[in-house]
Amino acid sequence: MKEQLPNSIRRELASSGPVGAHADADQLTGFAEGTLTKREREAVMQHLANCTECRDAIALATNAAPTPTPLSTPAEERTFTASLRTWLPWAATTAGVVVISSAVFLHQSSMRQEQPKSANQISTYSIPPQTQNPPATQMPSLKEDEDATAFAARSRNSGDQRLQNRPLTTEKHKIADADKTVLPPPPPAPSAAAARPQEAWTRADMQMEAKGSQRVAANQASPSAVGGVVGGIVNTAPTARKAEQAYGTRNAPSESNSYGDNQPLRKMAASAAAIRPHWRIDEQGHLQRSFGTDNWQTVLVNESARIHVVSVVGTRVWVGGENLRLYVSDDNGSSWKVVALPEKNGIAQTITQIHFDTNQVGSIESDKGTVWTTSDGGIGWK
Amino acid sequence: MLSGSQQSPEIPALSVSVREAIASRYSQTNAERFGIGPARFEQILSAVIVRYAADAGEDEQLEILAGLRLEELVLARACSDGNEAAWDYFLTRYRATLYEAAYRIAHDDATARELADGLYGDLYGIPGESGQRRSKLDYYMGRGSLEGWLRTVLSQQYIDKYRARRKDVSLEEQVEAGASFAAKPDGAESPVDERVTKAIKEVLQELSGEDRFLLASYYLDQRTLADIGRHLRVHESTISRKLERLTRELRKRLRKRMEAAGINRRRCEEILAETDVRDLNVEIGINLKQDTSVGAFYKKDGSAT
Repeated sequence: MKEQLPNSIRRELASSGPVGAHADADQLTGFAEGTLTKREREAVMQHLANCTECRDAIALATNAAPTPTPLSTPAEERTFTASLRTWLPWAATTAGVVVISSAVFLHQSSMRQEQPKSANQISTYSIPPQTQNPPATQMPSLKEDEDATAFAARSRNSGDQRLQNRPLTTEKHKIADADKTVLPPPPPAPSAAAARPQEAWTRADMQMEAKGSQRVAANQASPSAVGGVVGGIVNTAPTARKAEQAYGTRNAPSESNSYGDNQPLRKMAASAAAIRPHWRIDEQGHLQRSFGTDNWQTVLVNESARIHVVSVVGTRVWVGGENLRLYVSDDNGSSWKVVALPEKNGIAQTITQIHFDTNQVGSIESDKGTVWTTSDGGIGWK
Repeated sequence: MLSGSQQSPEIPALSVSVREAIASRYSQTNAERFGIGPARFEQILSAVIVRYAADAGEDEQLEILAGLRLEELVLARACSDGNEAAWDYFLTRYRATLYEAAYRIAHDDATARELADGLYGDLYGIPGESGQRRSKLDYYMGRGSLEGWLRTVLSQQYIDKYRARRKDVSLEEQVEAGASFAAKPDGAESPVDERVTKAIKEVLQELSGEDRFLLASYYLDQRTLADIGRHLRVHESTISRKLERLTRELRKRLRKRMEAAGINRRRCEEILAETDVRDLNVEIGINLKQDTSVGAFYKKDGSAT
């Protein structure tokens, strides 16, 4: 702080006593969690301004919460420079990916000209057998010997609806190229309570599953554009395991592939496939992440509002829930930013739909039917 | 454990819309599973609305209703009613959390255990004169998460019990620990300029509650920017900018008011410059005045000044 508060003002601040009755524990909790109405919040704030005890109580309670999620500056307060800092890495990464993809495509073209396919050669573009109950929200990786353009062509030519709905795989190369360092390990699981009763919250389970199926169906019906959207709730563990079984064999490196001695490219593909996380929402409305195993870690552990929807666009993850809670992560959930939506129809709404056509253009809808749209990747909303 | 008791549904008077909204939420919870019927459910929610928004408009009442943590509220009431299934669920879900939070507050195993055990007993309830158990969970109103509420209650109890206890340490122990005590000020204190006091009061009264909260948290409680940001759910850089702007604005307004009250500029600057050293009532001019009675300085001719 460049300028300090004069002692005279400090003494006057300290001498003023609490205004009104102490806030009760519910009001203090509601204040800390942002669930009070505007009127209530102002009244509690007035009291807190003059009551050391209540300020201490809030401080102790907040600091006693599990490890808080880092918060970022609200969208409307970002300066141009801060926005530039946010988007410059993306622009640089995208440029790098385009260069690499072009190089790979040119290399592939030259290889194909030299080695025409023979009848006995295993096709590198064969479509795997369809599985029952394909998980629409999985992010299958392309074959190691495929590049983005060939993949797109294969998608268009195949009758496989799932392939048409897949995001372009330039994202995968982008991930591998931009972040060759090992991802930090997932956050430790919160000290869990004992196993919950088996029959707990069955009604909520059923509602969540029904909603998930509707969203999955909606996403399958509308093919995604470039940059891809996989919206909705990832199915719970049993379906995820089926997905892993279905895609595990297809992702295994083929015996013959046109990478040849191109070890770096094969490693990039393998590492990209390895670090792509899976998402789900448990029955308590907690967001959970897994890196391809059965080990699901809760993220946003400090968030008390129930999460209702998660949407993935490349490495960007959007999460929405009760009381218009909206989070975005640009690093597969390692860190999160809070996104403040402009107020429309009050804050007591739940985000139920997140849809992005591209990285920039998207919309959010609440359970009251309120819609917010963005055309700049979530910096500004209307 | 006492079996669940059905209290007589004395439902406060609320508008039709609010009552319909309450009724529509019954099916969204597991109230039935925990032995809470529609009438009791309506009574619980109505009590919350009346407590926090009895005089507010219907819109605000509906807003409060929409923001309630219904499942946790139902669980808490079912526990206080003595429902076994509810208690089983509560213990499974919240017992470990309670003890962990107590440890994070107290930073000491013994104190944390004492704190958590005490609250756990209060939550379970003490039988009253009528024999019916009165549980602290009756006071949970669902405005925030149950887990957050438990942490807040623990914090309040910690402040009441343990901080109060620290004040009772004997003076002898404090002296042995190296504490020193200021002498009682004599009657000749430097006069407080009433104009300055008035100017300061006026300047502070113009501030909003949030501004005063920021100043009190940072300058009085000595909290970090990160802590304050967490309390207000914004980034610490936002807090830093706000405090910077606020402090600058306060100094500017105070200077303006003091000058308008006739205080000379030099004195204004002295008052504004009194920072970092707290609770001193020092007149710099008096302290710097030299004592000439013993001739500390001599003129060239050898005579005292």
